[in-house]
Amino acid sequence: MNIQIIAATILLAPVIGGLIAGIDRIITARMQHRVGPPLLQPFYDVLKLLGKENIAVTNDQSLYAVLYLVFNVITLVMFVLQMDLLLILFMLLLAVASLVLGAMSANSPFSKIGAQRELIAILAYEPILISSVVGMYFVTGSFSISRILQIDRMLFIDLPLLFIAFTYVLTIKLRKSPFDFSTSHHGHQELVKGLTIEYSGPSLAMIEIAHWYETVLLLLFAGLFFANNLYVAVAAIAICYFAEILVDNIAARLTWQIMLKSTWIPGLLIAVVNMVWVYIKYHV
Amino acid sequence: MVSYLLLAMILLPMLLAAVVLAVTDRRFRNVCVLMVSGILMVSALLIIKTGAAFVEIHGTLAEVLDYVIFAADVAISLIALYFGFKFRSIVLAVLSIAQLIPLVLFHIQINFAGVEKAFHIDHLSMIMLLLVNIIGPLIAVYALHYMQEHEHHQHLTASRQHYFFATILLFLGAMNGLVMANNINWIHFFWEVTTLCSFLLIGHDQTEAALANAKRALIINFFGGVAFILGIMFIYSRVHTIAVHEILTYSDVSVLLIPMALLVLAGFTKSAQIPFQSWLLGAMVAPTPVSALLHSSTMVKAGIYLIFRFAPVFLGTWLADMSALIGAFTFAAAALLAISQTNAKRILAYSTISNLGLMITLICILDIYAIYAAALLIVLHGVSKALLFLCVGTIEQAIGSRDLEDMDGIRQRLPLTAFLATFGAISMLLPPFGVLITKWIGIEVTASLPPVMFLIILGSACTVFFWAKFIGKLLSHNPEAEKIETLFLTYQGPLAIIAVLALITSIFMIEFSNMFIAPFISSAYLGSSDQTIPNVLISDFAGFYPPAFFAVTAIALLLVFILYNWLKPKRYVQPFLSGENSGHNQFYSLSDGKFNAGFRNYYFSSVLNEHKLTYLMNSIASALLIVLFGVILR
Repeated sequence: MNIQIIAATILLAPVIGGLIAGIDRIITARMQHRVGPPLLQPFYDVLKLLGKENIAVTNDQSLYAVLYLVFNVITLVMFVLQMDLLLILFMLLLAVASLVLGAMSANSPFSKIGAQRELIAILAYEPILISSVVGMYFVTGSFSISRILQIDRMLFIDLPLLFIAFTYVLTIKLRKSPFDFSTSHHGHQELVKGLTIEYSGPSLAMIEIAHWYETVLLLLFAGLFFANNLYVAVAAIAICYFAEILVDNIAARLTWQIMLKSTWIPGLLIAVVNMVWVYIKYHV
Repeated sequence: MVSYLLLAMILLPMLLAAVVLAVTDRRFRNVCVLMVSGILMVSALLIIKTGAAFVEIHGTLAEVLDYVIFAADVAISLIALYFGFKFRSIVLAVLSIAQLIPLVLFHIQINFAGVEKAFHIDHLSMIMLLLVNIIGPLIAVYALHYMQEHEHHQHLTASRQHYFFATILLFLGAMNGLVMANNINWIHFFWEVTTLCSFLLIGHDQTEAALANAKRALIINFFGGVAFILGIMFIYSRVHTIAVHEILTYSDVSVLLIPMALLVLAGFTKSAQIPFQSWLLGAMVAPTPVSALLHSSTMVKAGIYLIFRFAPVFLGTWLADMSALIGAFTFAAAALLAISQTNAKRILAYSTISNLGLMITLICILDIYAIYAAALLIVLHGVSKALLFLCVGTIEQAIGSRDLEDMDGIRQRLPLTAFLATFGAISMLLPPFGVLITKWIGIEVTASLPPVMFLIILGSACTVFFWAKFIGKLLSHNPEAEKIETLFLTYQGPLAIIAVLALITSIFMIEFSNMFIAPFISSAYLGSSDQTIPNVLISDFAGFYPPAFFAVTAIALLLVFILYNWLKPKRYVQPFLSGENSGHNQFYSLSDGKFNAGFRNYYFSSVLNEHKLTYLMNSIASALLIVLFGVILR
């Protein structure tokens, strides 16, 4: 049974993630009054990348791209197997760390700046991600997803502020504008694609596929807040992701200072307020 | 049998310290150090094999020992007084007198009485013995070659290495005494010996900075020593005993709260908790094996040991909650300060302070998993930190700098050392290694103390930042770097052994817990001599079973290597530098001149000003300490 679940996760997640990326690109295009690419364009892109020659600046750079992919897969599998949420967050950290180390190993100032900025992003979102998990613990009495799913109550009702904080850092985690500064696109010039600048061909394809897994994981995480009702959860995930696309298109890139301040002061503050009230409600 | 082992572990290193001091021949010294190292390792393993026991000393021998130890303790205070005059430091002189007078008065009060069960080896002692007698000797062996190189760079007229190794041996003997003694006066004596040794070792190079920092270490640790002796006097006035095992069985907590607070304060000074962290940071001026020794297996762990030893008495009180808060505050604040550091040794030092804070928090939380995590962290941190310091020391001697920014391409220049250092840093940060697991348990068990948990969450995020920068630098690629590594068996050998130990301790965490920590919990916390209480033994940490996770990681890495071999780049190009490249890291700029591209890690030196932040953190931590004492003294 577990083997089937694991196999299904590994095979289905990139399909779903790729489709989400395709829908993302179509909606983005429509918002910009363009027709946009076909739905399957992300898959065509990745297939094309896989067929290309792998050119690199250092010999172990591709290693980190593969590590990034493998650890994202493991994290998603752990999530689907309903393991401990804190442990899942730490495994997710391992995935991001691989990406950062890959960028730092390349001898390029652009990718190194991208790596530092990604680390700042971790500094910004990690406390809120952990706080969300702790908030869920205060409500359900457990860090394990299997137990959280047994609760016959919508977590969102108890944790609305944490959900807001979570969606806020989701923008950072998905590297979308206004917080996309670690991977800004070539057209924006100042960082020239940051983290992934020195990746090309199959290595870049690995990173793209890993990002699909990551997207699925993060959206499932958002769905946890509505877990007791599948329809509500799917609707919430859809609204949530649409909001991300909208923000991505209407916001200009901000600086890392603004990101750090806004996540640590208002973001963490509302998270704490929410944690305090659920703590008092269920534990005092 | 056990008494001979005690002799071998406490007295032998001290005696050989005297021999090494007297005979300055280098070969003889090397043989001595190697011999003591071997004896210590074997004795520690033998003593663990014998199991938990009391060692009784009777009759004249006991009386003589009590007088000798009292005299030696007084001598240490007098030495401190001497240095107080020599350095013209009124504070030090006052502290040494403040220590001397209570010490003498107390011994007159108890009429120089001793404790029949002079030594008590329980499972906490065993955990400490493992750390002191395996990591300590490995560091000493490493130092044999290191000090040779070190003095070569110093251009001394006469070698001072005999002082160095004598102090190291004395230090190891004192640590063994400290963790096994059952007479609290003896613990205080060994405690003061470690203070004196660290003072001598920090000041070993005799430079102005070394002497200033040695003085600071002596002052701060003597402050702790004064708190310790006052604590002992308080304990005696309340419960009329100086035997640790009797103090621990005393059931009325409120009576012992003030002396326990004093002992915890002493532990804070030794374990360099904010606001007492400056001595450990200053200790960086010493030769690197000293840092490795202070940070991993000795000195700072003595403070943790003291708090851990007495924690069963005060667990669940205001004192425990406040100590947990101060520990968590240190954890977060030191991790934040570590971000701003470029000096690799200082980064490691702040990381140590931060981890010691986490240990104290875990010790002070009333939860069985917290105790497990605390004891595990003592070992895991000790092993990994020893490895990291020794690696940084090796790198420093090879490239002449300890600045992280100078370590670009270090994995091409010193492949083995850089690999081991990276391994050490990864074992401090990433899953499935144990240190992260203890952090995870730290968050799970502090759910009852939300402010503490919140600080641990913030601290974890900062930890990721500075370790990732550290690892990234070690793994960075520099096309111009050339290999300069030379290998010596006694130099890289200990490094490799410690790295293997780090891996083993992480994989066998559960087995280690059941073998050492479970019996400790049942005897110290549950008051039971039955060492196999089923509800204390664990099979995993809330679903985390290390061998399974290591297996998954190993499979993942295998998969990675297969994929990597398929992906392996066939063609290398130069990085994109916004223009035409003209060699590595160089491009034609707008004016057609060649321009070097460079990049430094982010340190946020304008926002995270170490000086200002330290002032702020010290103020907050002092305030917390005052609140701690304010509530208890009623």
